[in-house]
Amino acid sequence: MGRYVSGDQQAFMTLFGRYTGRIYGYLLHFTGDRALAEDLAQQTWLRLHHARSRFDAEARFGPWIYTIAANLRRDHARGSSRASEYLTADGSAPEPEPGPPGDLMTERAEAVQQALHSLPAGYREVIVLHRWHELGFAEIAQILGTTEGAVKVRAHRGYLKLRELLQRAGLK
Amino acid sequence: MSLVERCPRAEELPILLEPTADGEAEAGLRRHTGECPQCQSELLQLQEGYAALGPSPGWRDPRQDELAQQRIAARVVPEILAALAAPAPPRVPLPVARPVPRPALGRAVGLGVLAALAGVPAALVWLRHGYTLHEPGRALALALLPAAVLPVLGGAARRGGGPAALLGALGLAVALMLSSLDGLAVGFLAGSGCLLLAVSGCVLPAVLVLGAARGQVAADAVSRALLGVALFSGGAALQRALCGVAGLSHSLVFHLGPFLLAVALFTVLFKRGARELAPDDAAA
Repeated sequence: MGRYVSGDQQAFMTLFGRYTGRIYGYLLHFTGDRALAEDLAQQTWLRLHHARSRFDAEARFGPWIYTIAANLRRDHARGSSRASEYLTADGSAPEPEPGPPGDLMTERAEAVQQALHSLPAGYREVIVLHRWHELGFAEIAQILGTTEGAVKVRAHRGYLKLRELLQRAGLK
Repeated sequence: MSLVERCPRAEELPILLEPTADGEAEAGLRRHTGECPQCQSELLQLQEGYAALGPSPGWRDPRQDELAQQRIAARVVPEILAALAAPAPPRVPLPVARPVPRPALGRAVGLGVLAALAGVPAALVWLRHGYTLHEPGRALALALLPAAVLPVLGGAARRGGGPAALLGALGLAVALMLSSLDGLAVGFLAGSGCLLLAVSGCVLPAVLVLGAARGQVAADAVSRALLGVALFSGGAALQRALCGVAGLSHSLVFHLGPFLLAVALFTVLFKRGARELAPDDAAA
């Protein structure tokens, strides 16, 4: 990252190659819309580029770019007509977010997605970042702007709930 | 007996899911879970949930993913490479030190603001009206109420709409101070004070705690907000106590009781919020 900030094009291309797929996957998971995920991923890189001089040289690059992507996703969700996913106006459970395109999913993957989308959003985000993006709890806390303890609580409850849901669906 | 005598808190166990969990604390946890059937079972369930997800999203189509990355690159890469190739503008040399807030200074400024908000109107009322001794205490306590609401709204500010809420609170504080100067203290202040108490002492913390339970609000924001509530309730209780001691129309028991009850309620809510209740737990 230091070389990129200093103007090294090759360093930028290395980071771009390493993180674009992950960031796109993260955004796609939570938006369920390929075009939107692409757009947000582009914005993530552009915003990162404009803010590169503020990067703390001692910090890790991964959590930083995920933080930018997460903020963009939240800004978009706040601005879009889709209301909060936590509860609907009448207090009932909301419809799950649109998942990835169904034609691309195997039966098992579909069941996993359904179970995952049944979880409260706070748990789901932690689990996706922890399991599929291989981020540590401290890094996830940094990305989500919360404490490491809160992230561990969500992970603990999320994994247990996921296990229960998958068992109920006949998967283990 | 294990070196870790007591069972760890359940939320500590997910650390063991991390492949790099090889520190001293993790080793202690592993030793304990190796000996404690209950924790062993809990960890096993966690590992099953972890493993059930599979190593990567099964829906990802590499071809689609590659095309998407190409489209992202087509827009982003030329722009950034061109910017990197251009002469670098003067910028802050690395490593860039983040400005670290100085808690002591922040506390001093906050206390100064509180003192000014509370002390100035009290002094003015006293000087202008020459009230008996208990009135400055009452004016001070009343002036403290709106100032104590600010941390509550400051917590809400993290979720957007903060500047408007803070301005509103400041406006309200000014209005209350002015009204006390014009001798409207009894009717207007008592009414608005009760309203403020109801809104900021009950509704806001309830919303924040429920928000934290669902992961919408960071737990530390709730902590700060509830600190404001505690200040607010304490100020209100003090004010009512002063009224009661001075033999005014508000009796000590009648007014102090509900506030103490409110503080107890906030404490319970805070503890539950800190545990981050799941919605289904809350419903139960």
